[in-house]
Amino acid sequence: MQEVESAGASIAIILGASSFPKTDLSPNDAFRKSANAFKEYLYSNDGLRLTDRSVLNLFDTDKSQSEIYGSIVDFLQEQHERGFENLIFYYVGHGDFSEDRDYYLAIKSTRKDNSYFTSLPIKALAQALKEHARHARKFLILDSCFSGAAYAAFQSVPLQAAVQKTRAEFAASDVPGRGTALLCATGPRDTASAPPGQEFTMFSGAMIEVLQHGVSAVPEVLSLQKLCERTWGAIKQQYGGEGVRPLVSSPEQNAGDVGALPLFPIPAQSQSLDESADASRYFFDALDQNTFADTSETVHCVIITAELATDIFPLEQHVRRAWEKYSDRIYRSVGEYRALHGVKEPAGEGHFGSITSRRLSTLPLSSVFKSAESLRHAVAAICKADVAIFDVTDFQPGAMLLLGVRSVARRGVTICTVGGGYVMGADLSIPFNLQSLNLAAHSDQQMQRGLDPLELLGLKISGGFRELLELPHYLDLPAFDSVRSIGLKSDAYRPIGYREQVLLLCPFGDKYSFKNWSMYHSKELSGRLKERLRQQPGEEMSGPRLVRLLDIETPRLVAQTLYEAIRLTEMCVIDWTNLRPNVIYEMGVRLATNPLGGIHIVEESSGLNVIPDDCPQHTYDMMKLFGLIRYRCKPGDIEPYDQMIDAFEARLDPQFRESDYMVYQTVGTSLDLAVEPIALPLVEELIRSANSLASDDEESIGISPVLYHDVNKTISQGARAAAMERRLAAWLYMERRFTEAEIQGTPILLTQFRTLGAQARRWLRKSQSMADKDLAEYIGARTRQVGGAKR
Amino acid sequence: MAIEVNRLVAEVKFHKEEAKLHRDDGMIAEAIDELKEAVKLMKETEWEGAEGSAVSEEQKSIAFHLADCLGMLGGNARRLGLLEDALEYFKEGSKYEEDGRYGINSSYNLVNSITLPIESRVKSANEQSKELRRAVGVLEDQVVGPRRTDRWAWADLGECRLLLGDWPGAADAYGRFVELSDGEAVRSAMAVLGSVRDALHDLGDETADVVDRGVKFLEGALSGR
Repeated sequence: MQEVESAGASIAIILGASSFPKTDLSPNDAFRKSANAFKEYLYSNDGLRLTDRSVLNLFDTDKSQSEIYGSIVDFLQEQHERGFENLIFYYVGHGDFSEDRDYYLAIKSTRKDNSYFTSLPIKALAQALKEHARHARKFLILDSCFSGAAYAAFQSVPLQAAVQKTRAEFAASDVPGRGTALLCATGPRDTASAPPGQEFTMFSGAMIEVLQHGVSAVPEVLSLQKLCERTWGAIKQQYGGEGVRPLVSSPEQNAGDVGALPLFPIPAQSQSLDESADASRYFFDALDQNTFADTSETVHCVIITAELATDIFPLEQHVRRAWEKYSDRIYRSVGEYRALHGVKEPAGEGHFGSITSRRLSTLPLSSVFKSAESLRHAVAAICKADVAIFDVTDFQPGAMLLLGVRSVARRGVTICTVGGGYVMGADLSIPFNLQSLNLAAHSDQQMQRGLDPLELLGLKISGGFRELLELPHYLDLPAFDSVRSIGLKSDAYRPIGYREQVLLLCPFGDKYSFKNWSMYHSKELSGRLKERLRQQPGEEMSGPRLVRLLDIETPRLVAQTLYEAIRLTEMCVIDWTNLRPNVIYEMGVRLATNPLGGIHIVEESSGLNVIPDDCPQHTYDMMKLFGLIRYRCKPGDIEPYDQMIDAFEARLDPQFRESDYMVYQTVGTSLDLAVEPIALPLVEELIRSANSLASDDEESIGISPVLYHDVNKTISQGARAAAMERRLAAWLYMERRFTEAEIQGTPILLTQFRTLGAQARRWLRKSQSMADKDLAEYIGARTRQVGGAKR
Repeated sequence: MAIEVNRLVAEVKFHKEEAKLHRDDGMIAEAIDELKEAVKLMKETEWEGAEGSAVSEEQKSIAFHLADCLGMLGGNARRLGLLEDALEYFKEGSKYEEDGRYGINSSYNLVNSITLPIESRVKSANEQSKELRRAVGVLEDQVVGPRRTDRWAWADLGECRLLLGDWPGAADAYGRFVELSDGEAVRSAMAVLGSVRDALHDLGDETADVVDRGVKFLEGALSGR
């Protein structure tokens, strides 16, 4: 990350108005005060230390649109001669859309009858900056609010569309090596707010509070992203549930992410603004490899936090509290679970698999996809963590991807929890693949109305390990068994080449199915593949099948079929269009199970990716990391399909090592086989199998675990016999596989050997067969010899 | 003190299996030794919390095995004719069975602590009727709940109803018991009933006739297999 060296390299433009006399827009003195306060920061010694020479203040100017445009251009030209590296553009006021959905910023001379052409269109601003600040880093801060009821109809759409439009404009214009970052006052469904009686607007007030007074005990230099996070923390503190969430994005990141560059100095503060910042010392950084260095007596819990969470009380604090309350229970459960998988025990007296400490680490989605390296560390973290707690609020893409990876990497314990107002039992639209998840809730409302999140999480963690220990087929996520248990014959694991089949992971909505799938993908991709493959000499072919989940012909469960296909199909195209959570989850499973990864595509329309307006910033990082191929649903537009095939064929090169392969490799090398081995010790597996047929306490309990035992005695008799065969098999295996010294030297083995011997003898002695009776005698003699039994 | 529950339970199970082997061979004293060792191992861990306090899963597991071992001790002591010892074991075991915190779905100790004085010819069925009625109440709740398919619950209910002179109710319960049981379980129940019948007969208690009907019912069930 590149440090900004001096404020002298920065210039700033301030724009906006406190009144719009030629329109119906409400005047607001908070706009003026906000602009003044920001200007004060620009000038202050604790701030950017700018001077009048490097600041163009156009707030409340009476100039017309063209005059303002001219002033900006003149200013930039003048500054260009002096040299500058950073441009900060700050606007506070009203923003709106033209009939053509072009976004503009209102100015004092804006006229109601011709608002677009009398305001500053964002296109014009982008043009000016493109031409005259091409080589600079540009930081745009937009505090645009809509006038209450008059703009209510646009509240769910306009600003995010504005952001996307702004992104699009700037994305197209920047020269590689520099970039642009936007900080906007609101998210997709909210409006910026200037609460009555407040001195500043909600957003600017909080931002200025952060800039002028700091947030921690030491001075810092904040990036735009950090500034956004801190501002949001300040908004939550002051406004609670009424707070409007700001948004940061970096439309162009050719030389790195401008939004991640520290630029804004802030002073030290004696009291932390953000409640969670103070407690950050309780949490490690999951992206730091050293976090997972110690595993022997430590249980690791990684908390995957959503971007721009809205709850006042953050998830990680609930987790910390849960751990503090339930640590004894959790340590015991984890210790017993770990001991199960080890034949060897620690030397001397004491607890087997004793756990003495925990390590809680956070994995913010906003950081995971910044680079291939950070993604690698994140994948390693979720593979190594004993417990992973996912904030699946809004089922954000990054969370879905990592969840897919986790579901392949670990059988347990994984907990998914929802914030953002969700309370247990409420309606929630859950992605198709995750319908059977047992979700927790950690919202502020859950704290008030239901079982406290700390209880929910604590009980789930401790209960999860207990169940992982006791239930052989424990699952808290789908996919783990399905990607592993594909069949018994060797050809069941044969990869399905792209000459035979191509798998498309995609949405299933009617519109997509009718347009994208039926009219384009199913025809174009198949056709182009056939054309490409026909180029091979002497080849006759009917062309590969292009299949979606719905097309796979089998009566088996959807989940089973899907995960098999994901693992085995070599060419897998992943359509990010509409960013469906279940598709991204499937993508995570794919990246974790097949080194060829996926061919990532997205529909493009009117120059924009067809994705939701309100997707979090990390989505853009993901898209950049995985290199999406854009396609259009336009007749004759076949080049993207050739690109898809090219991209796949490049992966067939053994040297292919990009992000997709890296995920697979990281999962494979990060698995902690000591904790979750490939298979349970055989004796343990046989005992578990026996107990699932007939408990070894069944004589006392009087109930058989087998279904229908109470109406069909043949079933219960058969189950008891099968159970005893397994116990006998376990004893015979031990007697052959281990030396006497090994059995005698390992207390748990010795106990198992003696107990199994006693059980087998009791059963064999009831048999009519002399061979069984002889075997019982043999077992008795050997058990006494090895185990030192009294008889 | 932290408890290594899994290891403890594994040891206890071993001793129980050894005790069953000894019992099968008629070596009752050795069986008792094994069970005493198991009980000692559990009691040494000081596993019990304060009376009335919430209990953990580990404590529930130990309570189950302790009650089971005490029940087995009582049964073996009875075989040796050590009826006072047997009664002590059953009474201690029933303490855990009846403590709802442990969730032990068994009535072996409870019922035996009531019927053993009869078998010992110390008390008549009538003198135990209050305790028998209480046990029937407990069992009737259990068999419509978690012990619906537990053969021993039905056997215990049948025995208690017989001792209260309720033949129809007992026939009902034993009918269900037979449905859920194999020959070995039926023979075991028959042996217990036979012993109780003989004791009642010696006491001149008319309930002996009712109990005898139960024995014959079970004999018929065995021969009908």
